[in-house]
Amino acid sequence: MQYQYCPHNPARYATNLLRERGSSRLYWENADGQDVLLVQTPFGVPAAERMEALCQAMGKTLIQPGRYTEVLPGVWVRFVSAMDKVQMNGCPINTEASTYTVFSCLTEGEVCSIFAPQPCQAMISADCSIPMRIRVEVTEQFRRRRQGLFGHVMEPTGFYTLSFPRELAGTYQEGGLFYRAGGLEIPVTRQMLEQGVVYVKTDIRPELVSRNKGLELI
Amino acid sequence: MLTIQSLIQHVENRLRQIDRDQSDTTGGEPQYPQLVVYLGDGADQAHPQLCESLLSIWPQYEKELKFLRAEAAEEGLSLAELFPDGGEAVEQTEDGVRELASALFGTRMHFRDRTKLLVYYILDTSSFVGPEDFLAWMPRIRKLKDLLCASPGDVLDVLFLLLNENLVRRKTAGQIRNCLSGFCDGNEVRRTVDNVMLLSNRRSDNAILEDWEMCYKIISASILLSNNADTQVAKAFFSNAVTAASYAREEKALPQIGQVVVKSLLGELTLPALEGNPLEDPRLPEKLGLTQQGTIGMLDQYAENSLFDLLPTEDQLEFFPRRDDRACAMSQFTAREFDEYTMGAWEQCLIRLAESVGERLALNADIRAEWRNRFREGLTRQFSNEEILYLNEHLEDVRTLLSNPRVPPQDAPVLAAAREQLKYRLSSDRELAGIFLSALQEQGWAAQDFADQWNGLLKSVRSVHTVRDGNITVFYERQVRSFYNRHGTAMEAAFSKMHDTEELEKFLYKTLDQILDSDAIFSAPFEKELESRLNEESMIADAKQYIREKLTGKDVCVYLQTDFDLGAPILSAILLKGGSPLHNSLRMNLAPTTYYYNTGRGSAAEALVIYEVSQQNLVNGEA
Repeated sequence: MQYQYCPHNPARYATNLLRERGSSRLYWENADGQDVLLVQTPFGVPAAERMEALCQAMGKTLIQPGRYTEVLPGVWVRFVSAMDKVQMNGCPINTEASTYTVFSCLTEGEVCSIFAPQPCQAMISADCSIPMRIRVEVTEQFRRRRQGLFGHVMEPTGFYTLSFPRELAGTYQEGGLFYRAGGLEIPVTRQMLEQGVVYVKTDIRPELVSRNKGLELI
Repeated sequence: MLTIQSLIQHVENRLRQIDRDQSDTTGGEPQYPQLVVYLGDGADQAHPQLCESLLSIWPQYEKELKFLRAEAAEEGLSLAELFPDGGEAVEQTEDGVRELASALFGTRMHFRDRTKLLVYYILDTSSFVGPEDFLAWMPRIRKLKDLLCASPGDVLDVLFLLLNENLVRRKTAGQIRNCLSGFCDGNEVRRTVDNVMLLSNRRSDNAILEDWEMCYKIISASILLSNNADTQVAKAFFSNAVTAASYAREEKALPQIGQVVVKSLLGELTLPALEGNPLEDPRLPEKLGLTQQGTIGMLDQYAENSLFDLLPTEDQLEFFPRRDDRACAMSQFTAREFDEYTMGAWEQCLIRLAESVGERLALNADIRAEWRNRFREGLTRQFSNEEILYLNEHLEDVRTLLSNPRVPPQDAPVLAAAREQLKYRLSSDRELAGIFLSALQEQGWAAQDFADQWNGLLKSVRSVHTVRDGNITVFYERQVRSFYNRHGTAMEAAFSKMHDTEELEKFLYKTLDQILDSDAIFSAPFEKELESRLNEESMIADAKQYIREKLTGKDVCVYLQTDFDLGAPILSAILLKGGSPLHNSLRMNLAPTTYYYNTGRGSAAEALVIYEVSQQNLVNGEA
């Protein structure tokens, strides 16, 4: 199959791409009965600038029907027919911390034409950025200390633990997260995520900070 | 732009300045108030040379010598005053000219005799298409004279007529000569001016001059001689006749000396050739400002001054993440151990710190500019021009050298190792190394400009004609060689370190000045200089005789071609420094009727002979 990127055609539009609230599904508007191509790129990286290279790469890749296929490092595509859209009520996302763009497309014979979105749309857009929402548990550590003959108290050990979601490690890019302690801003590394739970010696609760818009701390 | 011509001109100007500084006496002074008037097209081109000549003899009269330009206009004349300093001409009304003329007789002026006003008109016939163009000036001159004086008797005037007799204008010139032929019969010309000095660009030896330069010299010599307390001499110029002049000048051959000195100097200087391959020089890293660890010294300094303070303290190391809650002194770890224990957080911390440099530099262009300038200065100190050119042509090899510092060991204590790590990371950064490479590139381009300029200068030597007088060439080549023998080592050392054209220009001008200051021959009066030169070559011992021959011999031309002999001169004059040995020699050898005008300047001697031009030498077949 040959893929070609074509200028915007008002008769073939796809736009207003949004994530359905409370779900992991994408929804969009397009001309009736027309198919679309969903492109997933790293968070904040627009797909439209890379479509020429993407079309070339797609021509050399076996695109899996009904699934996201990685055609370039960090770039995934999925074709959604008009019928699929109705049946799935949109399309599920692949992963978070990404930007999705919808393109109208038309396949005629061995040529698939992918149409550029309408430029300069005021309130709606053909792309949608979905951050990954993560929760890092920060817990002060205590230990039991005997008090008196029969009593005991819990006293701080001087450590806090940071508990990271394990699924983050696979897609994490170094420099995305930091924690603040002792007047420093210390980077969170992939190794720390793989470790899952790490200890920080501090009297004051460490504060987590995200420097990657694709990572949203909750 | 530096050219061989500019260097030669510099030598000439300097020699003239030396001569002016040497003059401790002044010569004759003007007796009467005078006015020079340039009439019509082209005549005012004489102004710069005339001013220079007159003011070199009468420097104290700079404010008192006046010059007017008169051009034909619809309603009579358009008048403007010109100034010796070459400043913009100021338009004058008729009343303005009257005021100007009146002021010449003022008590603030230093003219000794205010009974007469001497007016010198200069008229160039080059633009005339017929005799009517010449005759049209007669009523204009009369009108001008009316403005200048209360009565005609107060004015003595001379019309210097620059008669263009080249092949294109021959006919018109002949017609003008016919007009002048009636001068003695009281024609309109005679009724207008007291005297006409006819100066042609066609000499008695049939040479046709390309410009009026020699005629301007005759005019200035005539003005000096005619504005004179000696009435016998002045009379020759106000003799109610058409006159012509022969002229010769001997002076120090400044242009030729300049040529020989400059060519000799350029011949001595050579750019050092490239010795060996600079990339194989074991000192190359040091010369490029790299440390023993292969880091860039300037970046190390920056790290020490700006980044080390940002490293965590020993106490702050405790806040780094750990795999467990064991108590341990984190600051005691080696760098490797600490990074492993903190799950890579330590290395990431250092990476962030190193990356922050790029962000700071993006905000502060001054730091980059300072590094670039310092690096370029270092290059010019450590490398010759040829070496810099070579390095610029092998930029990738230099990049490899600059961007490959040695990896610091990780076995040192964590904070000590961190300092070396930061330096390593900065010097490994291709973008930061790029600052220094682009500085090398810029210096390489400057080196290429320099080489091109130098080679262009050497090439331009070929465009200069060889000095015909072999005696001058040999003598002054020897002078330069002698200077070079004494100072060559220092000169070569300075020259080999030269990197830009501005430096080169200053160096060449300075060296030329030093050559001119190095020997008294450069400041000697011209006859002494000639004598020294001739004696050294065992040529004619008597330079004075040589000069006499040049001034008064058979090769001296009259600046007018005539069919018949001009007869005996009405004035023979020599203008030179009074009391000099040359003066004494000429007095002993020339006719006693020769008049000597003291110029006070030892740089030249001029001979001017005035002839009356008879009617038969003016009448010709042109109608």
